[in-house]
Parts: sequence; structure tokens; C-alpha cells
Amino acid sequence: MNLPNYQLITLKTSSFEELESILKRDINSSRAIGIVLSELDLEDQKEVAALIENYFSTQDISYFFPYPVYIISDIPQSLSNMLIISDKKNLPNFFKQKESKPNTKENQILTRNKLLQQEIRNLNMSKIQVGLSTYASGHKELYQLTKEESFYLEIKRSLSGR
Amino acid sequence: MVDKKKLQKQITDGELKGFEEFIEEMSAVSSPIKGKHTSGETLNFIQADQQRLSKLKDLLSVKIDLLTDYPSSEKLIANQKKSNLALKEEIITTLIQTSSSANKSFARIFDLYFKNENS
Repeated sequence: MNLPNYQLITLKTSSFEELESILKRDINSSRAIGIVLSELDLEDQKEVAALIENYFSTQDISYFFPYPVYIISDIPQSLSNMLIISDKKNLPNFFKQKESKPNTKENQILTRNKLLQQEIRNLNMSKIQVGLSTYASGHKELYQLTKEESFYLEIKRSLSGR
Repeated sequence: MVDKKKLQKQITDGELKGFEEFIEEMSAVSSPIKGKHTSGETLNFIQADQQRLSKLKDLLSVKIDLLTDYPSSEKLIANQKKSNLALKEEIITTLIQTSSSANKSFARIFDLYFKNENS
């Protein structure tokens, strides 16, 4: 059983066949994934990133759960909803772990983790995504309103100080 | 752990006659790797991942449903808007008073640029 550390997949060409060979339904079910597009042309990177995102949405798989999928590319984050990182050095440290053969105790925990991974995979991701987006947008609005409140309070303080 | 050499001796001595085949099969099964690297790093990582997964499962399967069925954001947003409006009104009431610092500043500016021309 593998550790859930990063698996880096480097795309050498932007061919549909190569993309098809890496995109599987269980791609991020047991470990974090980094898809390296940096070796392609910028235009190809944009196209491939869009195709990867499209694959996830049409298959109703989340690129955040159970393990995140990162696109390592030079394209800006604004072009995709997926997590885009400019260099593999900037990948979050949590999943940066040396590859090693797990011992018996570690294997037992990994087996339990596998069950949790499957439970997460079996959830209705599109419904969850809607719920998460609604919750997040509500909180964003609340954040803006509290920011506005602190601005008014600052004005009030400065007025009463004179 | 059974000593393999001792068992072999017992087989040759005839003490374990009839169990030869079973003992051979058992010794062929691989034993756990001895002296394996067991620094806590890997174990900690797997345990942290387990915590992450169980929290994630809890969030996605229980909390999100609850938040969708009983949203709290709308009420909080309405309260915050009300509070902001009250603050805004309070500030404006203070600023539009004749003796307010804002009015005095405006008066100074207007006096500076327009008073001489009118008089």
C-alpha cells in the first residue's frame, strides 16, 4: 500500500491519448497528485488545464477530495478553478513525505484510511460543491460587511476623538 | 517466534514425525522484516492524514448537509447590514451638525476660495 504523498505526473505532449492515459476516475482517491504541464507551450498548457478541469466536472469527481490535484503550470490561477501552482517546490508541505515501505502498524492505519477514502469518494460531489460554494459565498459577504463595519467604527472613533 | 534450526533438529531426531511438510510450508512464509526503519515520521504522517480524512468526511457528509438545510449566513448578514446602517446614520448625523468638524473644514475651504469673490 502506498503512502498518500505526492505523485507527480509530467505531461510531455498535449496529445489527447497521453491525457486519457493519466486521467482515471480514481486518480486522486489514494494520494495527492501534481500534474506537471510546465514542459508544454503556454497555449497548450491553457488547453490541457481546461481539458483536465472538464474531465473532473463531467465525471462528477472532485479535484479537492479526498486528495487534492494540483496543476503545476505557468498559467495564472484566474484561468482555472483547479489549484494552479507555478513550481513543484511550492506544493503544500503536508503531503511532502519520503517514499518508504510502510511497516505492519502503518499498513493497518493505511487500510483504515482506505475505508475513509472510499466513503468520501462515494459522496455526491456535485451536491457538496453547491453546498460548499453557497456557504463560502455567504461568509465572503459577511467578511466584507464586517470589514465595512470596522471602517465605520474607525471614523466614529476619530470623530469622537476631536 | 519458533526457532527454525531447533525444529529441523526435532524433525531429524524423529520427535516431529509426520509434521515435516507442515513445518516446511510454515518456514516458507515470509517473516516480518527485522530492523526496518521505524522513525515516527511516516507514522505521524499517516496518522495526520487519517485525522484529515475523518474531519473531511464529517464536514462533507454531515456538516454541509446541516448548513444547507439550516443556513445561518443569511441571518448573520441581515444583522450585520442593520448594524452597519445604524453606524452610518450615526456618523452622518454627527457630520451634518453645524458645529461639526466636517462642516467647519468645508466652511474653511469655501471661505478660502469663494469669500473674496462674493464680497
